[in-house]
Amino acid sequence: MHAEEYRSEIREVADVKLNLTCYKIGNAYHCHIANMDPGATIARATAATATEAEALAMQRARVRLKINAT
Amino acid sequence: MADYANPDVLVSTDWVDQHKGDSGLAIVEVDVDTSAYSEGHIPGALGWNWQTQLCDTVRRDIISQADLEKLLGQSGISNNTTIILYGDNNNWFAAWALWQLKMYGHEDVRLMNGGRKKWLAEGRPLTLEVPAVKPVSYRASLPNLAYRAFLNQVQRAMTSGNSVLVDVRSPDEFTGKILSPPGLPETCQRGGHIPGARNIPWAQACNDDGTFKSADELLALYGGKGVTPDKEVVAYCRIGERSSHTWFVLKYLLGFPNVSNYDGSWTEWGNLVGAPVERGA
Repeated sequence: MHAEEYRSEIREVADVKLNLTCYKIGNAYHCHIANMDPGATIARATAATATEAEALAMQRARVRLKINAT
Repeated sequence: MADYANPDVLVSTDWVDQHKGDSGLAIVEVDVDTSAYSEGHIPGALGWNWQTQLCDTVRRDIISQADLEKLLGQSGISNNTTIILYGDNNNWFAAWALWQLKMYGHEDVRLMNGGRKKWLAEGRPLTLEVPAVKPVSYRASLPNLAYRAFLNQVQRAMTSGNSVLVDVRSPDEFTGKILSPPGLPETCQRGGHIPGARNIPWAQACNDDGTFKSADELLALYGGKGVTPDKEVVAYCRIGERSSHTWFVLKYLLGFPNVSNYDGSWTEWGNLVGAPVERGA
């Protein structure tokens, strides 16, 4: 078993730059979202497809950042 | 071209791939994202949780000597085991673990250069299996406090001509624009930095693939801000973990003789009544 489809990119959510890292291990797709500095976890998700994992992680990131801002 | 002062403290992903089954070697993953290990890890690697296993969970402090002995013993690690640490995000929390292991006198502990990110990106083998471990006895030394700075030392360093404080947080935290990184709790009352501190964000020591920059690049990075080996250097951040990474770079990769990590960091200084604070760049 090894990581496949590994990719990392920067996205902006609620005026905050975030680092998305997505990959597949075994049959599971993982998406991890961290702030740019220090790189602390903001949200993560695991799903059966890459699209689902990313969408779920982004949704959780939006919730967390909005909660934190209030 | 300069070499690292202590090149043996780093091993490559390739080296780990070749030696991961060797006796006398323990591989331990320490991530900021504490669930990453269970997604898949290096075959044979153990996982330590920085939130519960590498600190005192009651008072604010590093792990105690007794708890460290228990953790290592239960991990099957003896005093002469070579420990290879690796983790996500440029080995951030792997460096935190290394700082504590060095403080308690473990002789041979190293980082896998590039950490989890590089291992995954290279498509190297992973497993979900947690290795079975035979507990052993471990005896830690008393903590070497030369590696750790406390408040009174930092207060002295602030006014000493032979000391330099390195604030390794982001520029927005350093200037006081924000109190904490996005998404993290605001755990200080005031924003800014310790007067006189130089701002060199910790991750500037790393390349995009998570590996450390060359010795020449690191010397230019720190030397360019007046952080030189002839000075007493104190690194700090928000809670002392980013600065443990910088401590590793300065002490082991560049060989600075007098470097300490102020783990009280901004969450201590920024909450002190009457402490001097500087704002802006």
